[in-house]
This record gives sequence, C-alpha cells and structure tokens, in this order.
Amino acid sequence: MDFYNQDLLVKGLDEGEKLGADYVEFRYQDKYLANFMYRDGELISTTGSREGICTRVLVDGSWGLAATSKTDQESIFKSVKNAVKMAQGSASHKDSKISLAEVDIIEDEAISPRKIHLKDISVEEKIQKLIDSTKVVKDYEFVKSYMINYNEVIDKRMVVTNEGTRVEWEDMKPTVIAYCVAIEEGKMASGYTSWSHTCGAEFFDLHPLSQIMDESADKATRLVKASLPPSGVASLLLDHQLVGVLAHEAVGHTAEADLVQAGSFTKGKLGQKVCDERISLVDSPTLKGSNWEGSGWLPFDDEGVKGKKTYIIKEGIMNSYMTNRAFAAELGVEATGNARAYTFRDEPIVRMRNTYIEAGDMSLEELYEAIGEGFFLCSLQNGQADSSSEFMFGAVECYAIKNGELTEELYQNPVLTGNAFEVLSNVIGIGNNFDTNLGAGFCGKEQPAKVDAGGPFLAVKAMLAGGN
Amino acid sequence: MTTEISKEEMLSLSHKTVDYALSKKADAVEVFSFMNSLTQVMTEGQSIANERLKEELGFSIRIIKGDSEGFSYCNKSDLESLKATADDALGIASVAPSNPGLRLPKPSKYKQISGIYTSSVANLTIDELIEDAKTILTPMIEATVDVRTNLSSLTKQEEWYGIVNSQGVEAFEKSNNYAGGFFVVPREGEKVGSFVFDDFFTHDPKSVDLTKFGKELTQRAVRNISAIAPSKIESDTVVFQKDSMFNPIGIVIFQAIAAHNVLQQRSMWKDKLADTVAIQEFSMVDDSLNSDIGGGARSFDDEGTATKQTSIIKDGILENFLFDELRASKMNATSTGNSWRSLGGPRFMNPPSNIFPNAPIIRGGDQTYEELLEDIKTGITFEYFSGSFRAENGIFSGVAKGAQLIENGELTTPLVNVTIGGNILGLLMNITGMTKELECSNGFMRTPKIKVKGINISTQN
Repeated sequence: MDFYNQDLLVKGLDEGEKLGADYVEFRYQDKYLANFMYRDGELISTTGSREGICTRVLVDGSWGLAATSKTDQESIFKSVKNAVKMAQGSASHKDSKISLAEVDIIEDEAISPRKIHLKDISVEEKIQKLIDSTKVVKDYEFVKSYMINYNEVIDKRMVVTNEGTRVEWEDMKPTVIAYCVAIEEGKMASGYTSWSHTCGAEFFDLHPLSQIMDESADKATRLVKASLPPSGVASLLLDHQLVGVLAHEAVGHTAEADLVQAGSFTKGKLGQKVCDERISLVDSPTLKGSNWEGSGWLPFDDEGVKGKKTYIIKEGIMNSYMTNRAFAAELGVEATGNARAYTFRDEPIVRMRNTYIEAGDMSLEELYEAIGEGFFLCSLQNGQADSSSEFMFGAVECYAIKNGELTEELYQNPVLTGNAFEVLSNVIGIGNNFDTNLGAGFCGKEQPAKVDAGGPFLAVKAMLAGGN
Repeated sequence: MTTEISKEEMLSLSHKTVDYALSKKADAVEVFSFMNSLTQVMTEGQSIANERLKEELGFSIRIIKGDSEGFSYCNKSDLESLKATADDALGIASVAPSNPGLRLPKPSKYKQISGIYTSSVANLTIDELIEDAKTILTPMIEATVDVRTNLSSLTKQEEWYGIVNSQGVEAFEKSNNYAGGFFVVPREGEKVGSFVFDDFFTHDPKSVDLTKFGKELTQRAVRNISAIAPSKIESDTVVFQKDSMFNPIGIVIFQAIAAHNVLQQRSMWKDKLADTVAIQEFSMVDDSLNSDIGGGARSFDDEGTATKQTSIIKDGILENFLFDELRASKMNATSTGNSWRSLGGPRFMNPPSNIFPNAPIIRGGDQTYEELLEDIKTGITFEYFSGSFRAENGIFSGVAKGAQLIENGELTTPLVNVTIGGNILGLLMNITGMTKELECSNGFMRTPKIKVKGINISTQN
C-alpha cells in the first residue's frame, strides 16, 4: 500500500524524541465516505474524504495528543510540538504515571476481505439500485413513507511509533438500512431492516436492495395491525441481533478496561463465575458470519497492536478484560488490541470489535419447547446498558410462543429490560444457529465505532416492557 | 493553530469555487466552510488523564443542476481540492433523480448575535481547564464511596462557519464556548450503582459553579448506590427531570414539528396545526437569538437563512412547523431558519437536510420544585430515559434511570429496575404541574421540570 509517505511521519518521530517524548505515535487516516439516502422520492447524498494525522506522545508518564487535518512535514512538526506541550502541561497534575504494556513490534499491512472493490460500481449505478429497490413499495397498500440509505466507508490507516511499529491497513464496509411506515385506519407502524459487513460490492448480491426494502415494507404492513405486547417477566427467545446487543452492550462494555477501572460490574471478578456455565462470550478482530466477515474487522488496533481473539467469559467464568496498552499495564494483563479511534481527531480508547456468544446445541424446535409459553423477539431497534449491566433493548417484532410452538400472534415494538449477568445466569437454552448482524448499529462510547455482534438464538427469562 | 485561514481567504476560496462550478454549467452553487479548534482536558478515575488539541478545517459544496442535487466535501483548503470536490458534486447532480422544489436561499438580513464569541472563553488557558477539572473531581475524591469518572472532559472550543452561494448569500459567524461532560460510575464494595452524567455549555465560564456541579454529580452517584428494586409502585404520576424532558419528550416533539416529517405524513401532528396538542399552560418557542440559551444561538442557519424566534406551541395550541428552504418551497411556506447539516460530527460533512429547533424553550410554570412535589402521595421522578419511542405515533417505553420514589411530597427512596411507558400525545394533555425555574438540557434546550399523570409505571420484580 502506498497511500501516504511514511517517511514524513518517521521524521516526525525523530522530532518528538528530540523534544523529550519517551513514546511517539503517529496515526494517519484517509477516510472516504459516501452516503446515499433515497426517501420518499428525494435523494440526499454525501461523498467526500477526510485526511489527517493524530500525534500522541508520552512525556514523563503523561499523554499529550494533537490532531490536524494538514499532512505536510511542517504541520507534522508543529503537531508533535503541540502534543509534547500538552503532555508536559498535564504531567505534574497526574496521580500516577502512565506506562505501556510490552507488545510485539510489528511491520505489517492488511486489506479487508472483499471480492469486488466498492469503487468498481459507479455512483450512478448505486443510486439507480436504491431507486429501483423502492419500486416494491407500491405493492404495499398501507405503506405511506419509505427510506433506503446506502453508506460505504473506505478507511485507510497507518500507525508508526518510535518503538518501530509500522502498520497500515485498508478497510471497506457497506451498510444499508431500509425503513417503511405503514398507516392503516389511523394507526401507524414502522418496519426496519439493516445489514452491514466488511466486504466489497458483492454486498449487493448478498443482500439485494429490493429484497431489503420488501422486508421492511412487509414488516411495517404486518406490524400496523399488531398490538403492543403485555408487560411482565416472561420466557423469551432472542434472535441473533438481540443476543449480539446483549453481548456487546450489556456485558461487553462492563469488561472494557477503562470502565472496569471506573468501577463497572466486572471489576475484581476475573476467575469468578458470573453466569451460566454454558455461556462463552468472545470479542474478536475477525468474525465469519454465515456468508460474510463481521463489520468489526480490525487486524491491528490504533496503537498498532495485532488483534487477538479474547474470551471475555469462558464457560461462565470471567476470563479477560479488553485493553489498550496503558490499561493493560495498569492491570498487569496482556494488551488485547482493542484501542480504537474513530477518526484522526480521536484518541484511541478501549472499544469492542466483533462480540458474540458462542453457539450451543439446541435446535429451534427444542428452544420453543423449552420455553413452553413465552415470546420470540426479533429485529433489534436500539439498545442501551449501564455500568451495573442493567440494560434496555428495543426490538421490532414479538411473536407469541404457545404450548412449545411458535405462533403467528404478533406484537409490535417490545422492550426488553433486566440485568445482563442475572439474565445470563437464568438461561433456558442456547441454539445451535450462530449468525451475526448488528446492521447499521454503531457503538457510541464517546466517539462512534463500527462494531459487529451476534450469537445463536438464546432462551432466557427477562422483563418485557411493552407500553401496555 | 496549524489549520487556520483568515475569513477573507475562506470567502475568496468560496467565491472562486462558486464561479468554477457555475462555469461547469451548475445552475446553483453553495460553498460551506467550517473551522473547528478545541482544547480539551480529559479525566479518568479521579485524576487528570490527558490534554488534547484538535483542529480541522473543511469545505462542502452543494450543487443544483436542473431539479437535481449533488453534494461533496473535503478537509483541504487549496483551490484545486475545492474544484475537485465541486466536480464530484456536479457528477452526482448529473445522475441524481429529479426533486422539484430544490433551491438555494436568497440573501436574508441577519443580525450578528452578540455574546457567542467571548474573550473570557478565548483567554481560558489549559492550566485553568486543569484547575477546573480538579474542582469538579474534588467531591468525588472526598466521597464516602468510590466515585470515578470515565472519558469525561472539559473543552474550550472555537469555531467559525461561512456560507457563500450563487444567489448572493455571504454569511460568516464565529463563536466559542466552554463545555463539560462528565460520566461518573459509583461503586461500594461489590455494589455498582447506575452511572450518572451531567454537562454544561456556556459562553461565560464564570457563570458555571463548578464546585456545585461536582458536588451534585457526586451526590447523585452516591445516591444510586443505595437504590432498591421495588416490587410494585401504585401510581401513574411521574416528574420528568431536565434530561428526560429532552429524551423522550423533546425529541418526539421535534420530529413532529419538522416540515419534512409533516410533508411525508410521518409526523404525529401532521393534521394538528392550530389544534390543541397540550394543556393550556404549555408553550414552546424556538429562539436562537439569545446567547444565554446555550449551543443553539446562531445568526443564520446552515443554508445561510437568518434565524428568528418561532412560536411552536402557544397556550397548548400548535402554531408552527419548522422549515428549511426545500420544504418551504414544497409546502409554499417560508424557511424558519431551522436547517441543520448534522447533529454530530463536523458540520461540513453533511448537506443541510435536517430540520431541527435551534434553541427550544418550554415556558415555565408557577411552582417551585418543592411545590411541584407537594401534592404527590405516591409517584416517581427520574433523570434519564433509556428506551424506545416511535416518533410517528408518540408511543414510548423503557427504563427510568436515576429514579426516586416520591411519597407524601418528599423524595424518599432511590430506585432501580423501574420501567415507564406511555404516549407523548397523551402526556402533554396530562401535565399537572411545571416548575417556574428553567434548566438547560443537552446544552441547547431550556425546560422546566414537569409533573404528569397517566404514565404506566412497572417494576422488574
């Protein structure tokens, strides 16, 4: 790869050392983003690139960070000077000095999995695909409003450090969201479908846009007739998306080293049983779904550390935290390659990548039978959780399970709440059907991060709050 | 700064780019420029974590060709990069579908708001930011339980933005502010409380009592440690605190009054103009002309249209929807100056396709907070809403975070595992009290606390 002159950064490393920095790190980024939203006959488009450099230095155990959108040699020197000044400013105010965990120093490069480059399909063709996809809406009498949004990111990054790290990678991710609103006899409901992977333009074959639009229109049409679900503690079967958000939002965040050190639920629990022994929960830099690579693909993190598959929970036992180099040193554990920054302006903080619960051995029929009377929740709408692992997830659809069988009795927009570790301690059954798709979902911890999550269908007891 | 260019250079580059795009047969051209510089002190745990300096300059170009529109951006400031960006926008405009009604605003006289760029912010030093952060952290260090921050910050921000278009608009505004955002986790032994968050936004650093800010954050965090999960709450009365006034109430209202949602039948109030939508005591105005109100004060919107005061709900009657230029054109109305490029991230990256209030203010009631609580036999109050809502019909349900039980007019017990549900349409007709004091929510909305009947309250036990 040859997207930026690395020598300019290497000269900056020397400059940083001359100014007294113990550790100097440059992160170059050139991020292309295109977004095309076709909504009720209107196209709203965005295309463009942002390029910039983040300089991070460690001086006397204190971080300093400077970011600039100018990438010439003079600006790099100015940026190092600013970063050193920042670090010196806070050094005397720190309670303890920062040190970095030892890591393998690597020189490497990576290109994300893809068959067809996204730019091999013209902008015109992509826009036409969007417009064509909405033709299916006319088959749905009650769908009064629609939106389909296609987004692609081509992200080129380079990390160099004065320890010798030289890594660069190019990532490519398409995402699509389709949304329909149905109105019937004064009632309104929305249907929503979304996909995102690390891949190229083969995405359009994996998920034909008209099929996604059709699904959304169909959901909205079915849901407009549906009532709100009952409230109360119930036996629930969660689909891949809801299991994924449970893994990421409600458990994963509590195992991020910065939140652990702030006092999250998992602090001090390494080696302890925290949930049902059938549960193993992983965060991984790569993840093969049924036919694609997870959208949290991350070969190296933004400190230049090679990503490692990390068992956060192994057979019910709290096994590992996710770390960056500073927190790994503070906790005396290994750096797991979880330092991520969204743009060149951002500091790498501890983030997840692809987070999932491993599959079990039950078939769908066995899961329905194990539930007996309850509900099947599918299609994630949104999700939030607390440092205590109390969570709230909104789903789009909810089907009744009666006498151990899935029925067509449909409810709309169920909300699931509870404490994640309590819920995972009361598991009814784990499916053998693993998949992943967090769709258009982003993690929003201080700065956005594209992540993926998934797992098998999971039967649990939890609180259903429907609004009725 | 390494990225700074002068106002004159920015305007000159913008005009040259407009001329270039017109020479390439664009029918209308808009160049938006944006510079942002921030100095930040981060805290982690109970200590200063690091200092950051971030700068970025960006341009975006919107082109109308026939009835079609193209948009592209870059974060470069040389003419060749801007010409290439204009070419990209032209390319998209030439393949985009027709959207009749597209137009750029004509010049409207705007009055530069005073007080949004202040020397007291400009002169803030990094050492002062560090001292302020220590002031906020002190009550946490002194607390009886473990109270720690995570990814929290104090930020001094300076930005300017300019708009030049082929209709003759040339607008430029510079502002600065001082803002804080603190996320705090409480813990006592094995017991972890719900996190608490608070923020402030000001153009006058002296107006913020940081000692009080830190103490209140700490008190709220400590309170969460002792929260209990009730088995039942026999009441339908809820007092919404400032952040829950924004989400879900504010957000649902803002979507209902945005003209694009009205136009596409997605607004729950699409047919309600001039109808009663709230109790008579409820009024909401959008007023971006007052620098005291927070982040929404601005002289012109993201298309260059002068902002103004717009009455949204007056005495319970829905008076106005909010418009940008496109929807005004389509609905035979006038833009209210409510066009936004994005509600997060650098503004130059997005076209001005969002409609949102600039600075919404809900009129206060006539009660003190104590008086508001006084007649509640049993009820709850809560700080944040963690849940789902549907803007198209106003239905919401989710967890009431930072909840407290109200008994006989007094706040008695911190609560967890409480869920609430209802409908914003009904909620606004069931308000039974509002405080006279207004608070700032999310850095841009002014609101009283309100008391509402008819909310479904349930527990997870």
